[in-house]
Amino acid sequence: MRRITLLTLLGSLVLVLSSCIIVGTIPVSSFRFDSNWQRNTDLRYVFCSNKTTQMRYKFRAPDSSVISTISERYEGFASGNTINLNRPIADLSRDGSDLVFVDTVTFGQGGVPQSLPAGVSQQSIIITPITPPPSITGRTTVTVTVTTISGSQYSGSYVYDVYSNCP
Amino acid sequence: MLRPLLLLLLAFALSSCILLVEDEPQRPVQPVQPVTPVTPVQPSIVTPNAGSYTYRCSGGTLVVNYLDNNNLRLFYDGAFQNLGVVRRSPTLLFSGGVYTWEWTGSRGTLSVGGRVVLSNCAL
Repeated sequence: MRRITLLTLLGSLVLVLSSCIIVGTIPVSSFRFDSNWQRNTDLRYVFCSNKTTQMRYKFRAPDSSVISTISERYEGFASGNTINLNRPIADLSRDGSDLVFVDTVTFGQGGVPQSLPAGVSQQSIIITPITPPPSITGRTTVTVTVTTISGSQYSGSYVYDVYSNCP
Repeated sequence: MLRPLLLLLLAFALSSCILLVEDEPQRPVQPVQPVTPVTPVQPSIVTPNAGSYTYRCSGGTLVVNYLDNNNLRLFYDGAFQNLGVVRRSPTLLFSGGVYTWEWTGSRGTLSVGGRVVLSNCAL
């Protein structure tokens, strides 16, 4: 009888602990990146420097109030240049449990692989499949880091191949 | 009696002056040498300062990294391509493998295998 009671208590403890794990959800997760140009061969998203190129990232953050800062890092492989931007949360839009950022990528000189005009958001993008030429002229790694008010950091990144002469 | 003698002396003196003037030797005329037409010298195009430049071209962007006065590398076909200087006038021309980068001082052109792939490149 005592043994049954002990097992019951242990089972209850396991259930309580498991419920605790469910309650303690991660505030920021599931980073996803894309652009309006998708390479046919492997379905990866790319940048076309001769076309209007839009970049989008989103992440799961059901409660925006826990977010302190959002920072973006752009690393140009060919140029060796890096830029860091602080993104105001107001530039992101909510889509269910996700926060979404969309902007047009600007290419060119200026010491950075590209720059993003501020204040543009709340727009959807239309993804177009393309078969780009072999002329990859750059490679940009975009890293987004979200810091919560408790100081925890969550980040995701994506590598975009940059093409010229996209059809 | 004295006046004709003076006049005669004066006549001699004047004639001697004329003779002196006429006696000056004449210089031979030098033949004119034919003028060779001068070809204007084209100024050399200076290599941009070492560093990385992202050009905007008709066709997209191109990153060119000038290593020194004679060498550069650019990123094309998914890899760095090394090019060396070939000439500096009338345009600055770099070549390496199938790649050629021509810089006029304000505009650039990238050719691959003799075919222009990026033109009108500027900063």
